[in-house]
Amino acid sequence: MLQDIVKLGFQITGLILLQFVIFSNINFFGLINPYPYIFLLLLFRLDGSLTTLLFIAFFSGLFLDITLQSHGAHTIALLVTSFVRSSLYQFTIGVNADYASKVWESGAKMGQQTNFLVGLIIIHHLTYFSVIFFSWSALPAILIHTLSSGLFTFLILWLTLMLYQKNR
Amino acid sequence: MQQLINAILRYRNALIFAALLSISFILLNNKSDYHQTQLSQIELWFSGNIFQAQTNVKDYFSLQKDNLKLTQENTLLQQQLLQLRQPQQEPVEKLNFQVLQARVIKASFNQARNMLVLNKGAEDGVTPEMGIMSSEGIVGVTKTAVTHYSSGLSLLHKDLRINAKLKNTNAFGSLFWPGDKPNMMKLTDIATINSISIGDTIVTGGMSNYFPENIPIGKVFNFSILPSKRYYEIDVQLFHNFTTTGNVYLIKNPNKVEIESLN
Repeated sequence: MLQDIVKLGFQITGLILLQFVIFSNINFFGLINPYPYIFLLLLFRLDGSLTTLLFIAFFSGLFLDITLQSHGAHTIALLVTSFVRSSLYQFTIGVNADYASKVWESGAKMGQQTNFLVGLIIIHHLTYFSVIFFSWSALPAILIHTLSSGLFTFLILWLTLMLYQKNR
Repeated sequence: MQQLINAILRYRNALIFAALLSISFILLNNKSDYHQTQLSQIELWFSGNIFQAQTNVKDYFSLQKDNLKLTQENTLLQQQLLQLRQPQQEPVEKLNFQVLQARVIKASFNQARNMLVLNKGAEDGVTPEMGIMSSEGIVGVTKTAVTHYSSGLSLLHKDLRINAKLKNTNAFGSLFWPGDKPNMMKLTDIATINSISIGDTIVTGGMSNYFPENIPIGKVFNFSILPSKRYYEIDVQLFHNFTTTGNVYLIKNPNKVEIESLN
């Protein structure tokens, strides 16, 4: 149990550091950055405590906001995505889905897992860019950024998910 | 208390989420000037709407008070207007009409002799034979007054005759209600030597003991020449709507007794 917590701690720290050091500096086409740190929402046990997840999301987001000067956008996006994760899991995998420890251990089809991943990415990116632009008039920009960064994030996370599937 | 604790425990995740989200927004507000401006705009819109709704409710409950204040103001203005409507050569002190405000609480309009009941009486200074007018035009004449209420003859009363004139020619005649439509009266005794056209305004003449001169009554709706070829018979469309109740003003002519003593 303790080993799992320490492992999760290292994984989350690694993800946050990767985001801070590499992924936030890609600036593909001058504006596209992936946000694969949301993989921490897949690493955290699906049947784990939401309270713990909310605090992990808050402090991870806070660290990114302080280091990336994003003034709270990462915190808000991560909090919102964490809060809806459970409902999204039931929506995409199915209401009768058993809560497995991890999504790749749930026995759900690859398509269902992909839907869950896409849902998480859309909610996170939409919230993140909405907070960044914070204006109705910037709606087209919000959608463009969500789509472009989302595609990038999806590619990275989907490959990672596949990797986890193979190692299982 | 136990239920409250249970409810808090049940919704603890939602509460924690709301608290952490609030902290994030505070962070956003404090750290970014752009977001601070945007958030203050949202706050202003939100608070503006709440205050507007609050004011609307408050205004609704103070309508009666506001109405009273407005009618008092109107009374004063009507009094000043009456002075202004009089010919300039008259000494002002002689035309000191007194104006009281009242409300018609009952009015009939479908009988031959229609009456009005007003919510002001002798205690408020109402006396018989005061002119009654609204902001649109004349309404009637008071008949009796008890302590808190008074009654009056509506203009739609077959026995009431009012001295009226054509505003543009000053040709005067007698206005009465034939007992037909509640918005139509007849003006007779206007000599045919005066020109007249449809739409001309009819106002009170200077020979009435009840009303000062130039108070609007109505407009010429139709007219014909009587067989004698000497007088017009004019249909007057009234300005005041007698089928509704509302605020009215009572006009007291302080010189009425003196004028009547000469007859």
